[in-house]
Amino acid sequence: MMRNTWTVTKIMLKMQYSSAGKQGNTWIYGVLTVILIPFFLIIMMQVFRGIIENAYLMLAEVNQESILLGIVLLFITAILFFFSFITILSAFYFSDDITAYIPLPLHPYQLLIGKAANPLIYNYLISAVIFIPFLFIYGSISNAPILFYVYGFILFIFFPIIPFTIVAIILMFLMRYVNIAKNKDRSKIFMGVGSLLFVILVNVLVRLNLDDAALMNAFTAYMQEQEGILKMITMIFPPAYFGALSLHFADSWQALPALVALLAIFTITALLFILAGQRFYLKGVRGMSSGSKGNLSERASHKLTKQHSILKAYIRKEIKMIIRTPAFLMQCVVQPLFFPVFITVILFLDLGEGLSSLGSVTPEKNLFLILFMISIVMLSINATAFTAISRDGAGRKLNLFLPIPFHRLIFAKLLVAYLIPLLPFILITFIGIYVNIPIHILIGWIGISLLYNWLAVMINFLIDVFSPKLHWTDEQELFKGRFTPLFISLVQTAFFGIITLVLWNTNMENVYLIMLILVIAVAGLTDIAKTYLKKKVTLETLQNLDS
Amino acid sequence: MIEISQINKSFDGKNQIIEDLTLTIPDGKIVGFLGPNGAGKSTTINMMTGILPIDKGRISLNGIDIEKEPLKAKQIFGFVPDRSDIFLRLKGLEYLNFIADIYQVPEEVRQEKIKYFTKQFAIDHALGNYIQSYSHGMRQKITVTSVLLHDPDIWILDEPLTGLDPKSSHALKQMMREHADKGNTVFFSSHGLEVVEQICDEVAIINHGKLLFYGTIEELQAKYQTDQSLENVFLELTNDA
Repeated sequence: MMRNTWTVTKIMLKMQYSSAGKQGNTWIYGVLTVILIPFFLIIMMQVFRGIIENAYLMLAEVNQESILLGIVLLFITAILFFFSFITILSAFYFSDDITAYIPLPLHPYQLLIGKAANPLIYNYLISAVIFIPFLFIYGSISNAPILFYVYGFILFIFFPIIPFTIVAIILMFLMRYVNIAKNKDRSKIFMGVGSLLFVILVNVLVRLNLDDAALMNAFTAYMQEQEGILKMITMIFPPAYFGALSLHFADSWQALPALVALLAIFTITALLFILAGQRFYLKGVRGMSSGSKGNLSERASHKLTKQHSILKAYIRKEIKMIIRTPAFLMQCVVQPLFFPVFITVILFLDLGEGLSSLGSVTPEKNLFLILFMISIVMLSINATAFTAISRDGAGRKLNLFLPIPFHRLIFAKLLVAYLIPLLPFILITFIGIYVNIPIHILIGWIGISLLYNWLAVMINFLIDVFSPKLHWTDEQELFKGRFTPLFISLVQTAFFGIITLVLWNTNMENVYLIMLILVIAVAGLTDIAKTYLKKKVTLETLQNLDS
Repeated sequence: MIEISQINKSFDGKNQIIEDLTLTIPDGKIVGFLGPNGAGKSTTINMMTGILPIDKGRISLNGIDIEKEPLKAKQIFGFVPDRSDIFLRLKGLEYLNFIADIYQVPEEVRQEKIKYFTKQFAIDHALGNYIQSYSHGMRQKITVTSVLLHDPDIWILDEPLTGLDPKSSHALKQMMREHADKGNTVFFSSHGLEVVEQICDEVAIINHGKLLFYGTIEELQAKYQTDQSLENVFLELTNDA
C-alpha cells in the first residue's frame, strides 16, 4: 500500500516539475536560488532581529514574551490557509490529469496523498521563509536550549500540514456538493471565485467584529495570567497555542504535553483528511462532465455564424478560451483582480471615512509617485501575456498553417493581454476617485499606467516567446515552475522603484515635471521593447518554437 | 499541384530528418503518403503547410512558394493535422465559424456548408457542445469539416481517417474522390494500407527522410516484380526501419 502511494506521489511530482527541468536555462534559477536565499535570509535576520529583540525585551518585562511565538505561528497559519485554498483547488480539482489515475487500482486516499505533495511543498517553502529565520532570531535572543531547536524542527515538519488538511477537508466536502452543477468547468470556476470571496468575507467579518473597548478589557484581564495573551490570541487556532507553548517551555517538562497535544491534533486532522479523501474526493472529481446542450436553434446558429474580420475573430477566440478555461480565468483574470479587492476591503474597513481625505492630504508629488509604483507592481507581471503563445498548446499549429497575417496574430495576442489587466486597474481607479485624488494627478496616473501596460505586456510576451511551455497536458502546468515572469517583474519593480526613490528625494516639487520624466522613461523603454519585439519575433520564431 | 523540390530538414544541424526529398503531386490525383513511424511524413507535411521552416529546397502549392508567399499559399490548401485536440473550450460551431472568419468565407456560404457537411458527418446535433466533450472521432470530423468550408484546391490530410466511424470514413473517402475528380489535389498520410490501396491513385513511400518510391500501386508491384499486397511490398521496402 505504502509503496503504491509513494509511486503515485513520485509520478505526480515528476509530471509537475519535469518539463520545467528540461528548459536549458534551469541552471540560472539554481544559481540565483543559491545566491538569493542566503542573501534574503541575512537581510531578513538583520531587518527583523531588531524588531523581534525590542518586542521580546518589552514583553519579557510583563512575562508575556510567548506571544511572539503565537503571533508568528498564527501569521504562518493565515498565509497557509490562504495559499492552500488556491493550491489545493488547482491540484485537486483544476488539473485534469486525475482522470488518468482513476482507472488504476488505487485507493482515493492514495491519489489524494500524491496530489497533496505539490501543494505541501509550497506550504513548506512559505513556512521556511518565515519560520526558520524567526526560530533562530528568537532562539538567540532568549538564549534558548538545544531542545528549543529540536521542537522547532518538529513544529516545522508537522505544523504546515494542519492548515492544509483543514482547508482540504472543507474543499473536498464542498466540491462533493457543488458538483451537483454537473459541469466541470463551471464548478471549478464557481469554487475558485467562491473561495477567494470566502477569504475576503472572513476578513470582513473578523474586522467588523473587532470591538476596540471589549478587546482592551479582555487584554488587561489576560495580562494578569501567565501566557494569558498567548492564550487569547491563539484561541482561534489551538495548534498555534500548543506549538508556541512547546517552544516557550522548551527547557521544562511543560513542553512535552503541548507537543503531544499538537501532534494529536495533527494526527486527527491527517486521519480526517484521509477519511474525507476516501469518501468525497473521487465523487467530487468524477461527478463532473463538460457536456452541455448540443442542439442549437436556427436563431442561435445564425448568431454564432456571423462573419467577423480576422483580427476580431482571433481576439474573440482568445478571450473565449481564457474565460472558459478555469485555470486561465483564475490565473489571468480573477487572481490579479483579487488583490486590489482584498486591499480595498482592508483599506475601507480600517480607514473608513478617513480614506476619503487621503488623496487630498498627501503631497501631490508623493501621491503621484505612490500611484505610479502601485501600477508597476500591479501590471509588471501579466499572466495573459506570459502565456500568450503557450496557451495555444496543441492548437499552436493553427497559428502557422492558417492564413492569418503574422502582425495581426501578434497584435491580437498583445491586445488581449493589454485589455485583461485593465480590469483590476479600473477598480483601483475608482478607489482613486473615492479617496479624492486631484483630477490632474488621476489623469496623469491613468495615462502613464496605460502606457506602462504596453511595456509590461511586451516584456511578458517576449518571456513566453523565448521560454514557452508548449507541451503541456494540463493548463495548470503553464503557471507552475515558471519563475522568469516573477523575476522580471521584480526587476521592473526594482528599476522603477529606484527612479521613484530618486525623484522622491529630489527637491523637484513640480508634479508635471515628475510626470514628464516618468512618461519619457516609460515611453523610451516601450519603444525599445517594441523595436526589439518586431526584430526578434518573426514568423520563423514561431515556426522554430518546437525545435 | 504540389511541387516539393530537394527539401532538407534537420532539427539539430547534424541529423537530417528529411534529405533531398523531391516529389511532384499532380492535379486530379489522390496521393497516399506512406512510411513507418519516424520516417519524416509529419515533418514533410509540416513544411508543406508552413508549420516548419524549410532548411534547404522549395515547396510550392499551385505554383506559390510556401516560404516566399505564405499567406497566399495558405489560402489554397486545407489541412487536417494529426492531432485534433485543439481549442477544446470552443463550441463546435464557434470553432467552425472561427475558421470561416480566418478564410473570410461569406456568411451565407458558411452557413450552408456547415449545415451540409455537419449533416454528412452526423455531428450537426453536437454543434452547441464544447469540443472538449467530443469523442476522438467527432473531433476529427469537426476538423475535417472546418477544412472544407473555404473550398480549398489542395487538401493535405495527416491521418484523416483515424477514429472515424465506417459511415463517416466512407463519406470522407467519397469526398476525396469527388474533389480529385474535379481536377484538385488530395495528399494524405496514412498507416492504413488497405485504405491507401482502395482509394489512392498514387503512393509515395518514404523512410529515413528519403523517398523510396513514387507511382501507382501497379508500378510498385511491377518494380518489385511481385503481385503481393501493398502491405507486403511496404514491409519489404521499409524492413530496415
